[in-house]
Amino acid sequence: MEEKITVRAQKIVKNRTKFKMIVFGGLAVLVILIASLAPYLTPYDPYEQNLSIALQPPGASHLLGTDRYGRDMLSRVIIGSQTTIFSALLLVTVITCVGGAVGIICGYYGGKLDSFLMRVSDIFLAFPGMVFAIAVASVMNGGVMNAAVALACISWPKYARITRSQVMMIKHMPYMEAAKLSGSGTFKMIGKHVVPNIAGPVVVTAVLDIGTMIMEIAGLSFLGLGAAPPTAEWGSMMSSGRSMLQTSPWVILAPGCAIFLTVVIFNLAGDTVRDVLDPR
Amino acid sequence: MSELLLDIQHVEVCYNSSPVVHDVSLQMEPGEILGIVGESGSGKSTLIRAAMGLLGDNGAVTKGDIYYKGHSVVDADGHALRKMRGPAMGMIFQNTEAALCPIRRIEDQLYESVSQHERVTRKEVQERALELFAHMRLSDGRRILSSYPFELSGGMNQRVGIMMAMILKPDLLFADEPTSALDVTVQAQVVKEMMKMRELYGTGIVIVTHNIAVVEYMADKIAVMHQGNLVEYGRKEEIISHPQEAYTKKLIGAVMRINRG
Amino acid sequence: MENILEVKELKKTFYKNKVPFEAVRGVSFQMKKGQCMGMVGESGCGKSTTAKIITHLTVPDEGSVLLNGKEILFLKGKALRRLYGEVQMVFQTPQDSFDPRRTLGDGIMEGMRNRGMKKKKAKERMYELLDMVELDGGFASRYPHEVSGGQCQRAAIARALAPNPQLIICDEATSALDVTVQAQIVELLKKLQKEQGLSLLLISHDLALVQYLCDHVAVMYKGSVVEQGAADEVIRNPKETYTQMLVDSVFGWESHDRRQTFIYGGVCPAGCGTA
Repeated sequence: MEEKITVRAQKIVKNRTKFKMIVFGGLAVLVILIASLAPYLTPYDPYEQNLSIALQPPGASHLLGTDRYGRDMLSRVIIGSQTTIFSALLLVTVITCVGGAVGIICGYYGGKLDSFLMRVSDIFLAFPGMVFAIAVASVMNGGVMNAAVALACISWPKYARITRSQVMMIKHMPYMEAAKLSGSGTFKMIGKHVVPNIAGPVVVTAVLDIGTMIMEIAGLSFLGLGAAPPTAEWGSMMSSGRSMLQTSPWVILAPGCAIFLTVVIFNLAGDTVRDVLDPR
Repeated sequence: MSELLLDIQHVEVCYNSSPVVHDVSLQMEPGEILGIVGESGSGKSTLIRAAMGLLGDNGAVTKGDIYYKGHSVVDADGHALRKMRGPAMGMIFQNTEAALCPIRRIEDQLYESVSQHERVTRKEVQERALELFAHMRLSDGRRILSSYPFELSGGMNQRVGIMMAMILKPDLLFADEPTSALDVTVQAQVVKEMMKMRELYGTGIVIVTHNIAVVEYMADKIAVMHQGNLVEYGRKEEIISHPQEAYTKKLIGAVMRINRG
Repeated sequence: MENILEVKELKKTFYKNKVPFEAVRGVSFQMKKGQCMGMVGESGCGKSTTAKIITHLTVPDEGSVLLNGKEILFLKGKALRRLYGEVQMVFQTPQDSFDPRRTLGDGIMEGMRNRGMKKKKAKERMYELLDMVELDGGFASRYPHEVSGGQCQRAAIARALAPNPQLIICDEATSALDVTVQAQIVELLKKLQKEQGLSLLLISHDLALVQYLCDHVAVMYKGSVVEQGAADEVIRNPKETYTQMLVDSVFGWESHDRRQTFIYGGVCPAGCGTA
């Protein structure tokens, strides 16, 4: 009888979401903290050239080695996090707001305006995303800001679509009708009832997209369409180190691992946010 | 005395380690109709899910045992349970449409479920289904069989559910809120058809519902559940006309009745 | 007594994938002040659509709705907001009728705040309303998922009562509730109707409820009213075939006798216990 009970009890699964939230959320916050405090964390000046110590392998004085101008890789990776992570965060915020606003307008009002805006977003979706971004970025002559604008152009329709479908889902819920019967005008309806109730899934998508955006910004920089050379940016650092892959692999490995770790952390944090906000 | 069809002995059911059904014992003779009534959260659905072996990953029978014709349902493994469900225990859900695959015709799903248990041809299955439909006085059985679930009305889907449960001629039929989603006129027909099945095949029926009037009409015995406990259990006439417990009195008193005096 | 509500020749057709569905085809009825009127019918008969047209949640194709003799179908803006001070609605699923991200108190106060009432006064009124529907003041700070269906429905009734409306439409307001809770809500509605002199339009499929609570009943079938009259009279002696069938289908009468003949044509199976 005792045995039977334990076997049956084993079926019951424990809930680990809270633990995951603390770990991955903490790591994501740590990465953002490192990025914002970067100037104070660098052991050397990331831009100071010293050709006498060029291309030193990782060692006690330079933990991640030096690049071909003798700049400390660790310092450059740390300072580079600022460009990459902040531009990704800014980008995600902007496209969430723009896409979200379009989606809310489409979903809430419907009709011809909805059809028009959705066709516009269809047009943006019809271009192969990365190719379009490369085209836009090169037309605008590179620079991190322009790369972000290019990526924003290809990413907002996704948010517009998600938001629109969420709005359409809750639009006919009884509480929306009840709010209407309470005499709430359109702005109050959207601000008080629509936005708080659709925020969950949209925020989840946004957090999951941070990792993707980091990669895409780094990708554009790698192609020379993002940050211009002296600026430390992970993608352009990898690009400048690729000719030395066989002789001094640390030059490319350091920013590469930084991208890898950051993306993994933000993706795991995004998954956890989804478990919390959107438990389906 | 004949062998008990269903014997629930001091059963406790837990979901996520907290008990939702406490120490419930019920016995059913073959061919009997047992009505389990209670309000939401009374544990009535959980109890029959346990009896069907359908508690899922988070639920378990933690005390007591449930026997179907002397065989424990609680200790049966997946294979034994699959053999039991269908030929021995049939089930009807509240929403048959949701329980069926939306992209396949009724007859395909029917053939698949029958051929799991018996060696049959499609034609035999079809004939048996049409016979059952005829008993329910549904003349366009062929059309129903070749339809997709979403093409049928709620009442029609529920009749398909009864037909699919009865085609293997089980001795025991579990019905979880079979009429709750239906309009009154359709509800009356579905109830009538379930009674007809008992009349034809001597099937014992466990009907779980919050609709006391339906149970009052159908059942031989009534079990009243409240917050996971069995409050009162006995013959229908006694429960309805002479309820002993305060909760039963309150529950039966709350039922609104049409006055046609 | 004068009519509070007069509905004339309402028509509404919905299109689903361009296939027309006539939800309401020429519904007309009148409701007297202070009366409780029931609208019964099965799902898809157009009773909810009619209610939604009266509350401006659906736009009809044709027809007119007069409240106290004044046309209300074409109101907009401020006038529409004023209408919502006269007509209110209680929905079927109480938990869904409150914004899941806001407290019940916020939900009840929303209408008062929108009508420009000061926060402090709105709060006082809210507690007064909670008291009226026999809820503890503590419920104001609860979220809809934290309370039971019955408590939530009481809060919904409080919200509907907030502007002192003349007419409250209950769209299956008790159908989603357990029987014992349903009985309490019914008693509450009955009490409030008497105390406040409300007119109630009760949309329901439950004939027993309508017979108990309503003075007048309209039976709807496939988008039109097939029979109307005094509730008790219509249910006891239905004139139309459809009404007869509807009444016959209900389980649980005061007397069981005629039931058997309908269901079995006089034959009761062995052991059914009622033979």
